[in-house]
Amino acid sequence: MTVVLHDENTIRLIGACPAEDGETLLQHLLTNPKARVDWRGCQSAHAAVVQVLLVSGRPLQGPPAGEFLRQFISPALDRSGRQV
Amino acid sequence: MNEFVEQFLLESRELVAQAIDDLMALEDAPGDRERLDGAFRAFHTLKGAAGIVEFAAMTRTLHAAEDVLATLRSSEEPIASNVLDECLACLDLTSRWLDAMQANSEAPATADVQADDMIARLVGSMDVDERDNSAALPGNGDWLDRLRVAAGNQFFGGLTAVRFVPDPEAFYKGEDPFSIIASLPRLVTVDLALTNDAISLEKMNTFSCSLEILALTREPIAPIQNALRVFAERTEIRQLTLPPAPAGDKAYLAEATSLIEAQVVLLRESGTEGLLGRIESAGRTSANALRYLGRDGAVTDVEKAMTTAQAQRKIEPLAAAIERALEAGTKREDPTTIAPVQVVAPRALRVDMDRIDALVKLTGELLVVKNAVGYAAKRLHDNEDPAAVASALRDQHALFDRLATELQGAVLSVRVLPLRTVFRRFPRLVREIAGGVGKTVRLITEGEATEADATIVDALFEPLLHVLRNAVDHGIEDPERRASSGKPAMGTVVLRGRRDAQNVRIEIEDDGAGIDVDRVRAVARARGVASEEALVAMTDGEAMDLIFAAGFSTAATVTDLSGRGVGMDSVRTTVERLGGTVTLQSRPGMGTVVSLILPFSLMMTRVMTVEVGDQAFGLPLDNVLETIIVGREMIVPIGSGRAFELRDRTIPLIDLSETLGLVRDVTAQHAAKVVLVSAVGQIGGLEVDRLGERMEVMLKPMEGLLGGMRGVAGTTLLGDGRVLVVLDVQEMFR
Repeated sequence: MTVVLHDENTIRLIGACPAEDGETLLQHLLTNPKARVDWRGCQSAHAAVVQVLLVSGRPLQGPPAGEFLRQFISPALDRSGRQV
Repeated sequence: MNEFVEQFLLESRELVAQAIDDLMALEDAPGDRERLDGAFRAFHTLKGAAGIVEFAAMTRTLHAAEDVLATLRSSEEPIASNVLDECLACLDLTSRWLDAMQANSEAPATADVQADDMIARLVGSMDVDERDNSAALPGNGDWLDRLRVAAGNQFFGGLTAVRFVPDPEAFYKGEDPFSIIASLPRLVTVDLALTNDAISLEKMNTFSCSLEILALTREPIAPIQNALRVFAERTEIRQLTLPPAPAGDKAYLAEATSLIEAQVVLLRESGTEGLLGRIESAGRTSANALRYLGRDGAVTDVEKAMTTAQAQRKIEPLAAAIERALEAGTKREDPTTIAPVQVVAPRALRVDMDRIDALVKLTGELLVVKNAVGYAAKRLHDNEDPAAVASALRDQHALFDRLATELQGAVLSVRVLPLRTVFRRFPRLVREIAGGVGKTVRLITEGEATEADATIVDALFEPLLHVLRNAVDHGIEDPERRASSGKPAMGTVVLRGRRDAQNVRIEIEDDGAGIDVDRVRAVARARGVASEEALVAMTDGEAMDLIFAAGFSTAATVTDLSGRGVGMDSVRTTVERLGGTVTLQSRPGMGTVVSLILPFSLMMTRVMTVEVGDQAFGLPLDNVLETIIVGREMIVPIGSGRAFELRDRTIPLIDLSETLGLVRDVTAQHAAKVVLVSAVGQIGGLEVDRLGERMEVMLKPMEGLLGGMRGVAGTTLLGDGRVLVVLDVQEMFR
């Protein structure tokens, strides 16, 4: 399990999140409309997972653990969040 | 230089010129097939020539350009301007290689690297072209804009931009588009967007990919294309060549540079205390700052040096590496930088056959005169009537005189080139220079057909480039300022050449802000170019002329373009070395005109002879304004010198015999014979004993031991066999 519902306010992404996690994340987001996503423990995430984050526009608690996520994906999500 | 190379240089320059002509014409009329064919042939022949002298880098580069042109020929589409730009850049590079070859007789060492870069750009330009026409990708024109925003202050220098729209089925197929992007080397930034705006959490299918991924890397286009080969259908890749760092980032750039400089100081501090720590910290900081500046090559270099320094427990390797990086940073490649290749006069020249024929014909006529003179000598020997022989000799002399003049003209015309050969390189350079400082400027050239001596035309490139660069950088205002003063946003610079009596006059006129005389005075005062009293006494015109003084540069901000430590003084020096003068007129708000006045030919000089202390000297007639007789009572001592008044002007007087260290003619005349000359922008008088005649002479420059002698322009032989020393008037009044 790499997508964990910590409490109704926090969904955690942990370790390496494969494509399938996208669906789990989506379900958590839909059932907890106020939840933020904490991806500080996230090493890597499949594009499918990041796509869900992008569509949701939910606030993220970071920075993520993985280098690529931290350096490139996180700033990109931040920018898209500003535009929404 | 061997004969092959010489021939190669000669031919290549012609081909480059022809190709530039064709490409520039294509720029105006992108559908002109004939010009396209012409350019293709020129590139093809140029490539062949490079092959003969075994210049591999040039062959490769031109081959790539030829491929591009061949593709254009087989396509019906009008030619995209970016493709033409790359082809022109390729010719520019070739020209620089040729210059280097001429100076050193061999291909430059850096050619291979430059060739790789150029080939990547050429290939890249075509790719853009093809992709633009393909409908494989949903169009999205503003993606480069978004990348620019995403990259922020990293958006400078050479970059490759990627737009990747993965197959919607990609996730089903088990692909992760991110892993592909993450694998790209030297990534600068990534941006994400959705291809479908209507998508929402409620209605989304997490296994359907609707991502658009944009990425920017510092890697050249070719390896990136290679890495994304499998996804060629779904990617759009563009090579971006941006100015080194946008103006707004100058502060960051300076900050980062000073940070690196500080590391060197830190390292060089004496003592071995905390040596390893210092090395580690200086190395890391420098590497980070360099990375920030986008200088990844230097980062690796510094990091390696840091390991070595730590192993050897010595600071030297690291300090040297950091200094190298700093040095390389200040000399960053930019397309308008012309490598300081030493100017070497071309050793071979192409001459129109008609001009050679004229010389052959004149030679024949001269032989007839020679025979006639011989015949006259024989008649004298046979005791014929001397009066009759003298009359015949006079006729022959007249004929000889006419032929000599014609011969002179014919020889000179062999050495001339039209100004076009140097002018044609500028329209593109000016556009690039203007782009670099965020201005739009058009260059109009006039009088390209004006001819001048080949040596002069060849030496004009550098000074003209410098003046044009100044006009664009400092003369033409920012578009906003132009708009507010009611001028069109696009600035105009006119480069004009014309024949002016014995001279060639070249004017560079801009419609910019003009020169602020008060600022010139202030700067001159601050930099100590002229003394306070001198500044006060100067007219506005004279003050403006200070721009040409050594150590003067008016730019408030030193830019990449003009602030290279060479001011307008280098322009004046070069032009004066060619025997010319530079002047400047400026009207506030209206613009500036810089005029270069050069002799038509370096060979013939008109001189006036004068005598002092029983010796004859020549003064170049171009400097002589008039000759006058001044009464002794009119001459008054001023300071350590003397002066006299003429038409309400005080004119400094130099006694030529005294200056030359000759004995004065003691039979002191009651009036002084004075030659009025103009030198260094002012008028002065030279007192002489006797005035002589005017003549046209072929000036021989001073050579050997006397080569460095100042104040002498050259020598020539007089009719009676005496040597006439021609003085350099400019030098005497300096």
